[in-house]
Amino acid sequence: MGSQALKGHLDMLLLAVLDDGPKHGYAIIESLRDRSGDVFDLPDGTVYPALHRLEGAGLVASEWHRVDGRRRRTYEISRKGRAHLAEQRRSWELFFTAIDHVLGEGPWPATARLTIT
Amino acid sequence: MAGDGAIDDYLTELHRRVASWHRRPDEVVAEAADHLRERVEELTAAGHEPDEAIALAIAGFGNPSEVADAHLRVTRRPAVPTAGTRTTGALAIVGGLAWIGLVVLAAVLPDDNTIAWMGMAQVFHLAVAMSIVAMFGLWQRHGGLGRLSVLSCIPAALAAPFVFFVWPIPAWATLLGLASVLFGIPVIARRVAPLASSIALTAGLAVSGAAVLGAEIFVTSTGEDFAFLESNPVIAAMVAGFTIYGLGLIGVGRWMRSEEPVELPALPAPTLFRPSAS
Repeated sequence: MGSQALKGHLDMLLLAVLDDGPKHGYAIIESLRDRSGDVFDLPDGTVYPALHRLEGAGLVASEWHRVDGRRRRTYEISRKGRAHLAEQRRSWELFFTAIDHVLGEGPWPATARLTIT
Repeated sequence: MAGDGAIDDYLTELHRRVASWHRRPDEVVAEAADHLRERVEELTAAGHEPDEAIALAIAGFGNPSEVADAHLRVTRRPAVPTAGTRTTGALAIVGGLAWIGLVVLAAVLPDDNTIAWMGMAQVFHLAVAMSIVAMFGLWQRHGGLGRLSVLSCIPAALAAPFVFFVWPIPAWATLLGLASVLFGIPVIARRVAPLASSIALTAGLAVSGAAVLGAEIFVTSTGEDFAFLESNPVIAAMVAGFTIYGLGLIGVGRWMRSEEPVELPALPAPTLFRPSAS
């Protein structure tokens, strides 16, 4: 999968990971990697600016804590972020279903399937 | 071989790359530090030697240049010194000297020399105009200053006709004071420009504006002679305010002048995802 195609979906993926509950950066990246079956192997440091961008847009909120003597920032999806994620999910399912059926020559409409190979 | 200092070296390099333009470089580094140390703990627990775990954690985080570029991309307006901010820094110094020059001229000019006082009015116009230019430069240097700074345009714009065409001091002094406070608060909060100069910029015109407005209210409400507006305490507050503001402008201008412009790189398309090797 090309990086340009995936780049536009990073916000949706991060919001989806945070939809399970508040997480700090490391846990977000681990969750993203685990849930993608290690397909999404991105430089860890580049995820943090994306989280900051989401915070700037009001889609997530963050708080600093002290854990084991270290400063730790925890991110939580906002109400606006949940609404944005729901919209992104609908768009993605529509998009993926259309692509899947063009490639698979299947009937329209059909249930979307997400496969990562 | 990577050692315990390797993470500190990495964080120092990351801080160096973001410190000049990021609003909160310490937070960028604190977040990276937490991530790297947690990653090292996990890799060590998985059986890696400590040095190897540190090297793997750093490699996985991305090189400092790559990470700094990713931060720069999400910054809507880069807060970096440019040729423009250097130029406006010079104009801020001119403006600061003009404000202080006003104080000096007011003290030495004879009261009955109309031409000299018309010249002083031109110095005043120069001071105000250079201050406005300096504020644009500061706004650019900070990569934007938020809503308060935008709100400051309202009293500044309302003051403009009073400053350049008519002369009711309480009107323009109060409006300029309000504008400088609205603009100065975010400047102080961002902690990018030198703190002392930022405070002077915020407080200077506020002092003179408050003094004149207070005197105006006092005269109006008590029926006191309007000559009170030119009494020693009011004049002293004006002199102090103009001087403080002028010094603040000079301080900020010198700082803006001292910074080497940063050439913003033509950033390549982000490579956020790399297909797994397997």
